Formats: sequence, C-alpha cells, structure tokens
Amino acid sequence: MEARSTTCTAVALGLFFFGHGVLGGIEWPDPTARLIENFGSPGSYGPTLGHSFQSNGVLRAAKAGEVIFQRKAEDGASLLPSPLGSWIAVDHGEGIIGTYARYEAMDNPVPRRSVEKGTVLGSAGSSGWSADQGFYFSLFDRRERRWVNPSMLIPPPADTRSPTIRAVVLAGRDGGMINPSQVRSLRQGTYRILVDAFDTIDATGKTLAPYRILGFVNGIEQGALHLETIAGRDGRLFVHRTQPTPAKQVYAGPYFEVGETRLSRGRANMEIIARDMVGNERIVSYQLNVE
Amino acid sequence: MAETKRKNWILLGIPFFVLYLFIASVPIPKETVLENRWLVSVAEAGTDGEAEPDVLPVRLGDRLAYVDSQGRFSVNKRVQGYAALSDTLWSEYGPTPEILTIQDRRGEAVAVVSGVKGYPALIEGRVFIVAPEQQALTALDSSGSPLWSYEFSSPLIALDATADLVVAACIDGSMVVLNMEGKANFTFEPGGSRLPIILAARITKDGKRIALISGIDAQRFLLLERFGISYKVVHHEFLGEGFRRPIHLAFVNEERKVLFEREGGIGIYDIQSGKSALIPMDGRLVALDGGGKDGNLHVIGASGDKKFLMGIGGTPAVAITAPFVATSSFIRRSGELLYIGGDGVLAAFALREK
Repeated sequence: MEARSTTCTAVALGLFFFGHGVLGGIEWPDPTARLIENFGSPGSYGPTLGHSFQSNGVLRAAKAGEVIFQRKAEDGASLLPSPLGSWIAVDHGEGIIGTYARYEAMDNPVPRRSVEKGTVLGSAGSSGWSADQGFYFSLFDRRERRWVNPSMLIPPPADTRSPTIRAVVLAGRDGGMINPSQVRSLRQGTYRILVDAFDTIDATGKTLAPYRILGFVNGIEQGALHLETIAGRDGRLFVHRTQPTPAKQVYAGPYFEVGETRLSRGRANMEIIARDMVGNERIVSYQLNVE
Repeated sequence: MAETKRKNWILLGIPFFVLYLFIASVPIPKETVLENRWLVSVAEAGTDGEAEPDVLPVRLGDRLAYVDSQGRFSVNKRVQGYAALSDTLWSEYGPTPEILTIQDRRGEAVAVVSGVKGYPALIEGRVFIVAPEQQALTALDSSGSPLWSYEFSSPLIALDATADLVVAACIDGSMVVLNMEGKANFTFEPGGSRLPIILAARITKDGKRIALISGIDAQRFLLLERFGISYKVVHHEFLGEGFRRPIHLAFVNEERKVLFEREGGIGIYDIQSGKSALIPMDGRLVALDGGGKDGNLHVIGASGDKKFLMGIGGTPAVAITAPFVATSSFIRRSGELLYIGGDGVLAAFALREK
C-alpha cells in the first residue's frame, strides 16, 4: 500500500539523504530538552512550522554556519513586534536556515560572522511567545522556499509509543459528519476523510503531531498527509498531502483532512494509518456497507 | 617726511579695509542651542486629566506614556510584559495573550481582539497581528475583527504600513506590498548580495516610495518609487559587508530624506538632490527623530554604556553632540520642542538658534 505514495517517499528520501549528506552531523540545539510541540502540530494559523522545547540548559548551534540575523526581544529598531522573542538565524549551508528563538539572549551577542557546531547561542528562556522555559527551533529551506520538519534531518529521540487515532470522520458534501466506528452503513457518495490523531513520545508524554497519516479504501490509497515540508506561496501555507494542499483545508478544526474518497455501493474496507518519526504506527480499520 | 609717508599709507589702507569688511566678511554662524522647558520623573509624574489632546507617545525603559507639550501625561504606566505603541494607539500584553485590548492615547479601550493569536503591530492608526511564528499577518478593523490574513514564504523581519498599504520583508530576501484586501500588489527580491535578506523596510505615508536595507556582503540601501501599480528602484548604494540585525531606517524631514544606520555612522539620502551623505558616528544608533521642516535631525547613539545625543543640520553635518549616561533612551521632536528621555527622566527642550 505504501508503495503507492511514491512521490512523497521520493521527497522523504531526498530530504533524508540531503539531511544526512550535506547537512550530515546536524544535532539538536539541546539534546536534553523535552519536545513539547512539533512540526505540523495544529496551531492558531494552521500548522506549527518548527519544534518547541522545554529546557533549562543552553542552546547551541545545531551545525556550523553563518549568522545572518539576530534580534533581541526588546530591540526597537523595527516596527515589527517579536513573537519569536530573542532569535537568531543561522545559514547552515545548502540554503538551510536554522531559526533559534524564544531564548534568553546573551549580553554579548554571538560572534558576528560564523558559528561552529555547538557554539552557545544563548540560554533557554521565555522571551516572545512562550509559556515555558525553553526555546523554539525551525529549519527553513531557502532554495525550495519551505519549512522542513527538523526531525527529518536530525535523528528523533528513541520512542516506543505508537500514535493515537482518537477519531475518524467521513464528511459528506452535504455537510453531514459520519463516524465510521458508530455507523455500519452509509450512502454512496464522496466523502472527505478527517482524522483526529496525535503522537506522544516516551520522553514527555506531550501531545504531538504524527509524521504521516494515510487513508486507504479497499487497499487503494485515498489520501496521504506527509508532515515533512510546509511552504508559503501567494499568501497561503501549503502542506504536502498527495500534492500541495492549502493548510487551512488540511487543518480542519481538531481533524487533519487526509484526503477524499468516492464510496460506491457494496462493502468497503477503510484503513487509517498514523505513523510517527521513528516508524511506530497505529492502524484502525472499518467495515462499511455502502448503499 | 617719513611721518607723512606713514599717514599716506594709513589713509590709503582705510578704504581697502572698509572694502574688505564688505566683501570678505562672513556672518558669525548661528548655533543651535537647547533651552530646557521642563523635566519630569516619568514614574513619579502620574497622569493628568488636563493634558492636551495632542500628546506624543513615549516608550522609556519599562514605562509607556503619552505626554503633552507641558509635560503632563494622559497615559503613564509601567509595562509588565510587552507593549505596542503608536501615535494614536497602544496595547499592553503578556507573553501568550488570548485577548488583546487596544487603547487610545486617553487610555480608553477602542478594540478588543480575541481569536487571533499573536502580537499587535500598531502602525498609522491600523492594527495588525503578527502570528506566533512570525510567518503570518492579520489586519483588523477598528473593532478588532479580522479583515484578512497573509502567510509569508519565510519568517518576517520588517514591517511598515500606510493607510492602505502594507510592506513586509522576510528572511529569505523577499518583500511584498499588500493592498487593503491583503492581496499582493507587488513583490520584489533585491538580490545583489552573497546572502539575500531584507533587514529593514519603510514606506512613505503616500505609498509612493519604499526604502530597503537588503543583503549581507554586500549590504545595500535601495529606494523604490511607484510607477503605476509597480515600483522601480530609483537609487541604490552599497554599504559594505553590513549588519546582521534590525536596522534603523526612516523617511525623515517630511519624507524628503531617508536616514539609515550604516557601517561607520549614519547614512542620509536626499531624495530631491539624489545626494547621499555619511555622518560619522562611533557607536550604534538606538533612537532617531523624524526631524522637522527645517531639515534638522536628532538621533541618539550608544557606545558601550554611554549614550550621546547628536543633532544633524540640514547640510548635513553634525551641529550638536551631548553625551549622557542611561540604560534606556527616547527622542522625539514636535514643532520646536525636542523631547529627550534617559532612564526614568523625560525632558523637553526648545530648539533655538543663537
């Protein structure tokens, strides 16, 4: 079944080799920090574009690079407020810009030009949009104009927990919402597949976004959401589903819209698979009578 | 005989001396002096219901205030978290606000924002919300309801607005001009540098000109002018390798000039003459005033713990410098009054030429 997601697998493999090749040796800014919100988590504007960590340690450059921008939270030169608090952007090469944010800036700023891997950028803090002591980290691919899931380039922490699929809903074009676990039969027609799923990891137990959600009907892929990259174009964010899809469409309330399926008369076997970065997965199946 | 000769020489010299006085004399140049009008401790001043309607916004250390020409405050408070402040509106908020209250310069609530997460940017009487990851901007109406949202291609670095336009610049070196509906009227990538980035962007009140500081190695100052619905670069200059932080950039002297921080001092570009000047400054620019009709400008620079006021004449050349010690500082001019703040003290000076 998975072989059908060839495009996305190619993207993932490309980024994997890219990450372990050109950006080989990239590490987490603070390996002891606890991941509390991850790339793709539902946020106020749709998907979250980076990882947020809880930490009391120091924040280090994930890889060598060149500092291209740094701002202290209270800097008054710009009319722009700074929800990123005190932040620094480092060009790590090959167009990848690392954003380290919401930390406690040092009195003496980072050396002007370059940083080595492990250079201390600041201490974990709570500047900008942060409720906890920690920091925010994101990776932006300048060449492709998209944010990249950091967990694709940096090995995620060990984790044995599978994602949880809390609910699956089929949304009809008439606006009707059908829960396949409670309904044995439904009318033929076209339905959007909505999945309420989340992941947890051993280290924190916090609710995180899964890495992939796939939807199959009778063994045929009907939709696949890959939280690998998110791009901003023409004033909108796009998430990579089977093809770039507006984030506002994918992030439908508490659900992820995974795809759309046309159900014809007869029996239908629907499978929803949620997978995390490590490869742990959860599968739920529904037997449906389509009338 | 010798006595007569000497008298003749003197008599001959007198007309030349008189002639010299008329031809070669130069008037003694006038000096700008600051006459102190008042000085107040902001924290101790409180508010005064008799404050004039025409008050100026003041952000000084942890204080947020609106002050009139007599040193009376219509709003005067200690900021607990963060604050946004403009000529007409202000808002105080915590790190992750669920609700934002926008207030006027009398302290009256004019809008309550809920359901749009982020930090407020108050520019030209308009209210915007910058999303938590600085990748989106939402414009609000006067009641605080969302009008439109725009999601950018990378994190925002600079923002400015007029009554009907928004200019926003991002870390990937792109700039976009948005119209009243939040649609992109114009997009631009200056390029020309090893590292593309836009560090500062400002737009004139009439929307006709945009100033940018772009790129690293080399950094450039660019001035764009509107032609139809588009903008074209009408001036650019290289500024050396450049800064890697937010940079002060402003249209000054009734938008006839552009002032910006550059390596080695302050750059001033005269739009009419097309001439550019560098005012040497040893330190970092921390505050500037938009100047008046007379062409004079005032800035505050910082070098280490010490700050200094610098007055720049229309030539342009440094007309006045005055060092002082303060952690926070403020400067603003209104008419003939120059307001200068240092830590908890705010003072007004009349600008006089003597």
